[in-house]
Amino acid sequence: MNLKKTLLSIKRRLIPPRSGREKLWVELLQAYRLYRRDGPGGLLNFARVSLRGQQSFVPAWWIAAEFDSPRQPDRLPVLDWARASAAQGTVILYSGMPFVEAGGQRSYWLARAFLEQGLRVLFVFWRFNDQQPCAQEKDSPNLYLMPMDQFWLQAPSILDASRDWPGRKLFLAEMPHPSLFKLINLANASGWYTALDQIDDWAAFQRLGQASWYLPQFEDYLAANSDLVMASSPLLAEQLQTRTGRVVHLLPNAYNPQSLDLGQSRQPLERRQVTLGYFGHLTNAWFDWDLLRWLASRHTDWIIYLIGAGEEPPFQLPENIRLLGQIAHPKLAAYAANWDAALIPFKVLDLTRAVDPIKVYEYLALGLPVVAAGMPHLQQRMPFVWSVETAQGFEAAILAALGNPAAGENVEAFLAANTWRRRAEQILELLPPGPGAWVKG
Amino acid sequence: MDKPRILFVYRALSLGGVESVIQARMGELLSRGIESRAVFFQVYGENRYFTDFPDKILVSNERAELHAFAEHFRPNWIVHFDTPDLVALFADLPGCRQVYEFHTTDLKNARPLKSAAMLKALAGVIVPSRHQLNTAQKLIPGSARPGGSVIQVVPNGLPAEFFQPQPADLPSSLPGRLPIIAWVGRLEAHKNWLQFLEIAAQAARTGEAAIWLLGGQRATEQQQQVLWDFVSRQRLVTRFRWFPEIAPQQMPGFYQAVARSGGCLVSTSKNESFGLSVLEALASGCPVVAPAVGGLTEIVQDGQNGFLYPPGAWQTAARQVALLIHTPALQRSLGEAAAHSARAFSLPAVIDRFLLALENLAAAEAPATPGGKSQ
Repeated sequence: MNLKKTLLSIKRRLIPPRSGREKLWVELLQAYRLYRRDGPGGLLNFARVSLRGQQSFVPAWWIAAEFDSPRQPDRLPVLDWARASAAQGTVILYSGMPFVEAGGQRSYWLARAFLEQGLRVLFVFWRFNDQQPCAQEKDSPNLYLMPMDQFWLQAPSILDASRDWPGRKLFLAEMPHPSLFKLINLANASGWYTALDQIDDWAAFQRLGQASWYLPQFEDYLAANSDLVMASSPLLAEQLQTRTGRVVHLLPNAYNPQSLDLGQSRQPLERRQVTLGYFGHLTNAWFDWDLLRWLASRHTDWIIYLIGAGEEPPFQLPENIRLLGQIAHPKLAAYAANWDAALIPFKVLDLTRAVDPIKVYEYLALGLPVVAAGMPHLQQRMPFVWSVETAQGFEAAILAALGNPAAGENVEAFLAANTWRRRAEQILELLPPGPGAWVKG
Repeated sequence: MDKPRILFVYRALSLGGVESVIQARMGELLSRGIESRAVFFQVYGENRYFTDFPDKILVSNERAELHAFAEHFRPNWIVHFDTPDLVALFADLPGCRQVYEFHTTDLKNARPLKSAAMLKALAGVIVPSRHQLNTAQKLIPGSARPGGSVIQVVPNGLPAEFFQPQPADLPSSLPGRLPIIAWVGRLEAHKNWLQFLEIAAQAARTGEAAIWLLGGQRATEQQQQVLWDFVSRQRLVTRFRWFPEIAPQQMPGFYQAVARSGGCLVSTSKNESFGLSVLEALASGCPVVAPAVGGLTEIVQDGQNGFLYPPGAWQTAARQVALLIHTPALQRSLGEAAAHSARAFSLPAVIDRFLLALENLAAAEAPATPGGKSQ
């Protein structure tokens, strides 16, 4: 054992984690393993695949970590959790984001809603490396947080043990990561209802330099191999249905009434003749800074507040655009109470046409009319939402929205039908009763 | 002959054919009041086969522990499946005969059988097919001659579940319930799994079909990439399913699902001493397209319960698969014949042969003495 530790220590010194050497080491290790399995022909096949530019299914550091700790502990903590927690069923939620409210992501809110439904949730989240701090908000004994890289290693044991778990079991993929190639049918064959939830146009993300893990067609494979397929916007649903022939259920985003503290006093902020605001991620690939600058320069008596983390603006902002940084979710209402209208100033892209922003639901819950760029599907199904295609249209829509606070029966009915609790119920209603679709003898 | 107490020895406990054979034998022997145990050097993944009698197996690579387990059990027969390593270890067990079950098709692994010392320690050799008998006779000096080492043929057997309808259904997400072209095995070179993809893709081009590949729990990432590359280049992504593994008790349902879909099982092995997955499919009423190699030629009758193709002739195999999936009446009649043909391999019948083989081996030599094989 000591010898093994010593050898591993030497290996780590020679091949530091997350280094270029580690990537090379993993390549050699994989080539050796392939040779052991498939012989020289296997290497030749893989060389052909590599020449075609086929990317790895999992990051090199996942494989390096597996080499360093090939044996799993005899008792997996996640199985102890499963034994100890009592619930009517279990959801494995495969998420691209950590379990953090400030992230405000669909997977977070769905997990919360499933917990409220009396289910337990194994929340599997993506991380960029094993050193990445994951400050997360675990506040329920029915919630277990697990990095994707560790789940990938332990999934066969977890899924095998899960055959004896009581209640219905839902394996919900919120991120079509290629690591699911090996896992999706293990889940199917272990009594899980499998579901793909398409929440974004990942191909469009990739064209903008994001989601480098995304494999074209793999999402279609997942859709074909899942019991249930959902999408968060009409365009996503239509495209996926056309590509795969599967029935794709439209389950738009929603909001959580309890997460927005509507009763709190207004946060003191400078207000002008028109006060506008945005909260959400600031990503230059789709956030339209030029549009805001143009708008701010034409209306110096307007002020625009931007709340959220992300990238720095590509230029110095005019004085009437104010960056407030990230604000805790429950406090958003106090800031938004100053606004006359809320904005979604995104570039008009494939990506934005396919998106169903959670913030729209929250804007409406805060009583704000919403002006968005390039999202006609929102205007079709939501009250007090204007979607436009041009800067001039954006300006005109703001002027039209002013003095039209989102209120009344329409808004109340819309909000009542679009809570995360309702979404979780809808997902569960879509599952057939009884055990998984693959009936286990 | 005294009531046998049998210890089975195999290298690895995973989801392979030999583990399946040992588990089935132990269950049937137990139902006849015959005690047996099994030892394995190592385990890959979870123990899925021996959940009904976990106390009757040992997984250990400690020779002393293995010996103590055997000593405590007091077997009068030790059956080594392609594991020459431990024959000498158990040689001192009193009143115990050792048998070598020769299943491997990799003759490098069978070299110890050429050793006179090894043969002297053994009461005999068991093989699962006539093909393997021929191989063994070529390998073991003098075994083909009268008076040479005794070799018995005991085929692999199947438990009753394979012959009974199972409630397993197709996963609901398969569009249109297409006929399934299936393959089962480890993703290893001698199983020739890439050739299956060629056959299935070619056959699927002639009409709608789904392709299921079962096996490869330990597939490397690069094998997965090769598999994915093929599936995506052939535009099969929405018709392809890869099951890295399923539980052993789900296997009958798996084959029956393939049979009911109007599909078939394809084998692409370069060689097989027997072909257990092919037999499992046949028993489940699923016709098989298999290469004319090794023991497969003894369980697949060309044109009766499936089709045989010349080794490597994958285009012939693809045509045979296409014929089956596009001719439902043929698929059904071959499937019925397949189930009928497999009945000869029901577990009770095979265990009768196994016990008779032990009797024959015992009769072929003088009473056992300490030190293993009689003097």
